[in-house]
Order: sequence, then structure tokens, then C-alpha cells
Amino acid sequence: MPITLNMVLPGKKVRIIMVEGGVRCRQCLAELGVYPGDIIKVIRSAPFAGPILVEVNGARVMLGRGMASKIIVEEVT
Amino acid sequence: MRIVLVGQPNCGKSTIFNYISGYKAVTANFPGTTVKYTVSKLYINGYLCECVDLPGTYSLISTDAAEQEARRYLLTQKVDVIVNVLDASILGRSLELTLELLELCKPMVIALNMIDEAERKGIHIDEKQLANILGVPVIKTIAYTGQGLTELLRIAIKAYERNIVGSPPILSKDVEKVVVAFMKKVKDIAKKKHIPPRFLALKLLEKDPELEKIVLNFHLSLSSYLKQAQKQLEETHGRPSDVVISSERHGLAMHIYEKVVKILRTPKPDIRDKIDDVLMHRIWGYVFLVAIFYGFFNLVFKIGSYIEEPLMKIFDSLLIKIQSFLNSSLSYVVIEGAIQGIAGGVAIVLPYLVPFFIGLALLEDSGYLPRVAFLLDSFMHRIGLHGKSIIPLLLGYGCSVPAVMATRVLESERDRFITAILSTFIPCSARTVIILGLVSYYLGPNYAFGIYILNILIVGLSGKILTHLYPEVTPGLLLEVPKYHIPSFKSIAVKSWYRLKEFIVIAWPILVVGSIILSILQFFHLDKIINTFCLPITLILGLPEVIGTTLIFGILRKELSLIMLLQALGTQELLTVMTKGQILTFTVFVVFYMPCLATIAALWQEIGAKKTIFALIFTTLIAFFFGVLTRGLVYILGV
Repeated sequence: MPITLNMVLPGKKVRIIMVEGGVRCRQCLAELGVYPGDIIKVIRSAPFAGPILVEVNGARVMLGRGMASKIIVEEVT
Repeated sequence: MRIVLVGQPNCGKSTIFNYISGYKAVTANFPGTTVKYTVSKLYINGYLCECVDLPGTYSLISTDAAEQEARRYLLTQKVDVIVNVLDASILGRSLELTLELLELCKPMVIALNMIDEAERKGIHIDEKQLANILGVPVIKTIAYTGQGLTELLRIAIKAYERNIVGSPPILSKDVEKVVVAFMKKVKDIAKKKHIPPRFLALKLLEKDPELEKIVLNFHLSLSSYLKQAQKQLEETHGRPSDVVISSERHGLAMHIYEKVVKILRTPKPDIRDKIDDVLMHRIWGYVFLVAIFYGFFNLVFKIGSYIEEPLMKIFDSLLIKIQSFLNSSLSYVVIEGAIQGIAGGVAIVLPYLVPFFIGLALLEDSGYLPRVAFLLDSFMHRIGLHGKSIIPLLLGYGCSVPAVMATRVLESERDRFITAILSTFIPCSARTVIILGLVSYYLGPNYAFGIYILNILIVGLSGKILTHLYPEVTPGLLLEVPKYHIPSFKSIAVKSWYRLKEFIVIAWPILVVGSIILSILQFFHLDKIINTFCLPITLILGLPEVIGTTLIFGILRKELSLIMLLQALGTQELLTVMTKGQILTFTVFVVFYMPCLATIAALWQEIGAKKTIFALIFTTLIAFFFGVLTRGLVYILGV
């Protein structure tokens, strides 16, 4: 079932289905190697509704909650 | 000939640059350290080479100012050979930039850097196969040990001599067809702008804002072709055209990655991830954050004051001796001014500055700063910014100039502007000297710590005010988190020296000359004019009249305020002429009022004249407000 990335618990792996949001947002994510179809692993999240740390294609990237809520993902096993 | 280093942030570009050019660029373990390009000249194989270190860029689409700088350079300057530096441990993503660079059709070599890091992850890369696919030479390197770098330069020269430009990637059939057709339309304008037509076509299809502006404003007929081509891609792929193109490239990069990489074993659990379990922990992370910064400033103060006192005594006794020879003639006044200027540098500024710069370099190179951004993102959201803004602010503790320039890594113009202003509020090393040398020395370290806390509160408050004045939804935090590195001794030493040199060659001479001028002014009682001019300030703040001149000098360089203060009052025993409350008020005002000249220049360049003037007025108003507030509090509490 598709959910948004900010809802994923640390330790889980998900596949990106699509990125909502404008061209800018898409390009910024693409630059860091975040594309539809890629697998993302959520490593940890910061308290106080802070950002989440993910691993994608071997690199670690942090995303604010706002940004994460625009990324639609599905869980992979 | 000109060799240009291009690579994604954190790939070790600056380290390679430093190695080949004799240590000049500033490296750090977080994205966006090189915000302007650095140039150095050297001889390789009899060629006089100009080596250029461009800011790190993830792609050739311009999403922030630092990246724009890199791309603009590549498109407008004469580039003889590109050295594309890749982080081998994240090869797949790094290749995306490589594929874009190939479109530029310039001689190119690839430095497969951090190969040791890749091997640690169990990744083996077949560099011959990679070279075959891309059509350009590939050299394995380890930048910080220098491995492979001589070879890299040799091959770079060869690539230049033989004009090895590689083979631009071919996209899947239907996309390629649209690109080639559109390429024909942009041919003329590409020629005029000296941009490879294929590159221009691709970037326009990818909706690059800068190129769109240049091309479409002057060539209206193109825009309908562009819309048509974009629509064609969108209809056949069901996705926006920018996604179609970038996904093509992403797919290609991943395809190449799979072809050349052999995973030898599953990566061993990395001890560095364990460190993050603590330093990025939801509770311990903050405990360590406070402990690290508290320890840092405490240590700087301890070392500084330990050296300051004996040195000051030496200079004081020297002055007394000279006075017994020359009495109070004009020549004595000049010598006195000069000695006080020199003493100010040696005894008051350097003892704090040296440990401070070393500590800051350690924090930067180890890779701790992005973790701070992670921990403080939600707090930054409270003042309307996001976590990435914390990096310029932290750099501000070193010097406001690089802090203002580091705002380039922020995507939105409004964030850049607000962060730039806020970063000028952060007590830079010069103002740290004032806080430590004045408040901490005369009132105790707790007062100094209090000023830092007050400072953070005011930064927060100002942020709230500014984000309220310029409401806009920020795109949010997106930042790469590099692995921890054990900082190399060389890099730390070079970086600290590089920053220290700024003080020694620029500020110190001003300090000595300023000190002499002030002495002469005092000798002829001319300083009264300046002081009268500054009377409104000193009166409102309830400070001694003679301080007026120091405030003017403080705009030249902040540390001058402190030394000039001792000079203007004519004593090192400050408490005999100023109350503790006055010292506190003075420091609060000096920390916040107008940034120094160098910072004003940096602001001017980064955010423009109008906003700079706004910044000057805003900072002075804040300084007044809190100066008066401190005065009032001091009066009420009777400090």
C-alpha cells in the first residue's frame, strides 16, 4: 500500500513510487540520487518532528519532514 | 593550459587540488565548502598549468548558487581538460554527473577517488571496463595519501594533447529521437552562446531555469518548439520531461555501475555508523552537542587566557621602560601606539584565535557539522528556516565572510538573505576575542557564556522577525551526510594557517596603524571630534565618551574595538575606568552592531546593495535595542 516516506519507521526499506511537488523539488532530490524506482532505507529520525536520515544508492541523505511527505513509497520485503 | 576539477560535493576534489597545488583550498567534510572556485598555477610536463577547483556540484542543472558558479565556469571559460573526481564508494550516483560532463565534449579524465573507502565497502571497480564504456581514461586515486595523483595529472595532459573527449551517452530510442530533433532547432543559438547543442537541448528539456531564461527571452520562436518537444516526452512516458531525461541518465548510470562493479562481500558493519547511533541519538545527540560546543569554547578560553596574561605583563613592562627614556613626546606616543597594536595581536588576539581555528577545523573536517544540522533542523523550522541554514551560522563562529558566502548552498533566495543577515550576528572569532578578552576576563566565564546564550536567543528572535517580514514556504531540508573522517594533521594545519594568515596580513597591520593613529589623535586631542560625533551612541548606552572612536574602528575590524578600547582608555586595568555593567553593555552592542567592512563587502556581493543596506540598519537597530536593554538590566540588578 502506498504511503509517504515520512510515515516509514526507522529500519524499514521502501521503494519510491513517485515524487510529488514541483520541478525544483524533483531536481534537488534527483541530484542526490533519489529517483522513482529506487530503494530507500530509513536509518533514523530526529525528534521534535525533525528530519529523517535515509540511505539511498550507498549514500546517506537527510530529508526534512516536509520533503519526505512529498515522496510516495511502498514497502518492500 | 587550464585543468578544471569537477565533482560532486565531498568527493575529495579540494584534497586533490591541495595535493597538486601545494595546499591552498579549504576542505571540509560537508557539502559546499568551496563556494567560489580556487585557482593555482603549476608546471606539469613543461606545461604551465592553471589548476581550477570548482565548487562541488551534484549535477549540471543549476539548483543553488554554488552549483550555478560551477556550471557557469564550465560553459563560459576556456577549459582545456576536465578532471572529473568521483567518490568510488557511491559510484552509481557519481556517474550521473560524469554523464552530463561528457555532453560538454571537452577532453576529460576520471579520478576514481576514495577507492579505499569503496574497497572497505566490499566494492571492486573494473576501471578498464569503465574507461571503455565512457571513452575517457580512468585513474584510481586516494586523495589524502596522494596515491595515483601524479599519474592522474600525467594522463590529464595526455587527454588534452590527444583531445580525448569521450562518448556522450545515448539515451533510449524514442527519447533520443526527440532530443536529436530538438537539437537541430537550438543549433544556431548554441553556436552563438558557445554551448554544445546537445547539452543545451537536454538542459532545456530538463527545464533548467537559467538556460530557459537566456534562450526563451531572446528567441521566442524556440519556446513553441520546446513546449512541443516537452509535451511529446510527457505524452509517451507519462511523466514530466525533466523526469524523463534525468531518469534516463539515472538508469544509464545504474546500468554502467552494474557492469563495472563487483560486490566482493557484504560490507562489514562500520564502526562509524555506531558513532552516529550516539551522536545523532534523540537524547544523547543533544547532550553531546552541548558538551562538544561547551568544551570547545571553554578550552579555547583556558588556553587563551593562560597565554594572554604573561604576555601582557611583558608588553606592559616594556612600555614603562620606553616611557622612562622618551617621556611623553610625540615619538613616544607613536611607539606606544605601535607597541600596543603589536601587543594586541600577539597577546590578546592570537592566543584565542589559534586554538579556535584548530578546533573549528577539527569540527569541520571530521564531518560533525551535518549531524548538527540533523539535530537542529526542527529548531531552525521554528524560526522559519531549515537545518541547512545552521551550517553558515556555525561557520559564522569562525568568520562572517565565509559564513555569508556559505549561504550559497541554500536553494531559496529568501533563505539565503535571512541566513546571511543572521550569520553576521554570530560572534565571529574577532568578536569571540572581545567576549573572552573583555567579559570573560573581567567578569568571569559564566558571563561570557551568558552572552553566547543571549546571542542565540537574539538570532532566533531576529530570524522570527525576518521570516515574518518575508513569508515563504521553504523547500525544506535536503542534505547529504558524509562519513566521518579522521581529520588529517596536514589539512587541519593548513586550514588553520590559511585563516590565521587573514588576520596576520590584513587585520594586524590595520590594527598597528590604527593604534598609532589613535595615539596621535589623542596626543593632539583630535579624538574628541570623533567622540563628540559618536556622543548619541555612547550617551544612550551610558558608556564613557572616549569609546566613540573604538566603535568606528570596530567597523574596520571587530577585534580593533577591544584593543582600541584599552588604548583609548589608556589602561589595561579596565575596571578602574569602567563598571562591569558598562563592559557588558559595550560588549553586547559591539557583538551586534554593524558587521565589519569585509563582511559588508561579502554581503553586498551575495545579497545585493539594497538588502545589504537593510542588513546594516537592521543589525544596528538590534544592537541598540539590546544594548539599552542590557544597560537597563544592569541598572536594575545592580551588576
